[in-house]
Amino acid sequence: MIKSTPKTTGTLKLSVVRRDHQTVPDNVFFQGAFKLMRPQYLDSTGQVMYCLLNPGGGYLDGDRYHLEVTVGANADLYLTAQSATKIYKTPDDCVRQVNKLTVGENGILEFTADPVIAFENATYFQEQTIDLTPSSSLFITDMVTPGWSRDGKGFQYNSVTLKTQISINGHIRVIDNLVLNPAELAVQSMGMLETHTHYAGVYLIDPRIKTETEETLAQLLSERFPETAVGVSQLAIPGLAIRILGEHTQEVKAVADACQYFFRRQILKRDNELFQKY
Amino acid sequence: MTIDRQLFLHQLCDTQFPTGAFSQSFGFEYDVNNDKIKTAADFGKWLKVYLNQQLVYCEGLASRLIYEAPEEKFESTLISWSDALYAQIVPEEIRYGNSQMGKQFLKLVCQLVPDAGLQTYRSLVQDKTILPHPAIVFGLTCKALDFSVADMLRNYYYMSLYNLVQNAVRGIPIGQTSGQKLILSLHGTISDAMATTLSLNATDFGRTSPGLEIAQMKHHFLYSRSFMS
Repeated sequence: MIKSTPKTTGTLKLSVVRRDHQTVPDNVFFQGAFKLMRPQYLDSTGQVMYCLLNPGGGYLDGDRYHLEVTVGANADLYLTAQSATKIYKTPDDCVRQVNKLTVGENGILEFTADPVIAFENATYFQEQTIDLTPSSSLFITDMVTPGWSRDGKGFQYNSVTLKTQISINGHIRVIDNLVLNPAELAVQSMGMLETHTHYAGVYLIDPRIKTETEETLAQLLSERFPETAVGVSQLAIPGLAIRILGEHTQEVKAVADACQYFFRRQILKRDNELFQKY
Repeated sequence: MTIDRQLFLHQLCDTQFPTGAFSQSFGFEYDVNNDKIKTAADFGKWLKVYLNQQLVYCEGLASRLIYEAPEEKFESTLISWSDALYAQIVPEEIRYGNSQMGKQFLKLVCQLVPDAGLQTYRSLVQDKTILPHPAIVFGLTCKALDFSVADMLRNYYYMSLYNLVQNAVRGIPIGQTSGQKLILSLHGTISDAMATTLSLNATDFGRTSPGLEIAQMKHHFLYSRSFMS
């Protein structure tokens, strides 16, 4: 079956810049199924917080989303989303989201996307490219639930693909390609999600991250979350990757939140609070 | 000096061939210590995921794309896929283990097989443009000896799994005979893995395997370790 190129269902372009002691919007554009709440300043850091909304409630077959975020030099953005990303069944096509994130020199981006809930027979692709400079800071997290199906069994989706590529000064330094495709390889199998149901992946990148940071964070997480499977590893660049497996969204989110607090307290050296949506 | 290609391939795939593979468990030691791998059957399951995720979509695909690069694009392909290969290895010990093995393996084959491709690779490694990886060393060596991509992949997968089986025989309570039965039982899986690798596109590159990676990351913090990864 030949399909015409689908129109973009939702587009969002956001760029922020630093002005005096605050980060302010430079360009905000959204159309279709993507909306942004008005910017908020949650504390005295000057960090601007935006919350992403999908007023439609979920992603439908054939939907295409495009998200472009630029954080200027010295600017500081906290981008989060309002609710779970629900992907309804995609009998004819799929849902595709393309994210392009850029962080300038000494810029900070914290992007906490909401968990992906793929329904029965849904196919979802997310492609995310992140461009940093050596002095940029990044905190980013992705979460995947077992999805939703009438029988409540979980993992009834066709496939969930989350591709992330992080470059510094144009050189690709991290490639993360999570493909959950139950027909190809059981999701709950050895080496994949093992006996767990929920996955979260976190990246912390900052020039101040040292070799010892890996052990400090690994120890903190294993003490606070002894029941959750968590791995921490330093990257080839100053940064850490964290893989989390658990049984509930709240469980893996709690570990991701602890990583974000660690990023703020230990790396950025500030003690501002996270935005609590629930 | 005449090199018998088949005999040389045996020599290369021998677990005694000094690449340093004997000191790497690629994370299985952690799963053994935590009772996730108790029997040869458990280990077989682990090997299959390791093969089908990390070897096929990462090492196998990258070495195939380098093997197939036209001569005028050889060097740029070698650089970009070497970088990609290391960019997708998230656990630090796995990056380090592979670069150590790659270095030792490359130095050795360059002394055994005179080949322009291997020499180019060696100079790029020596001037620190890229990090050496055993999958690429193996691929270029097979190409130098005129083996097909399919033969290269089959033998690379066989060699990688056989090394791990031998390490497991030393590291966990699976006996010599169970080890040999296990590697024999994987022949079909290796063949399928080769076919899959041949069917992939460059965009399929990379596979995140959360369970494998958590073990590979946690291995670093094991109190007592027999293997480097």
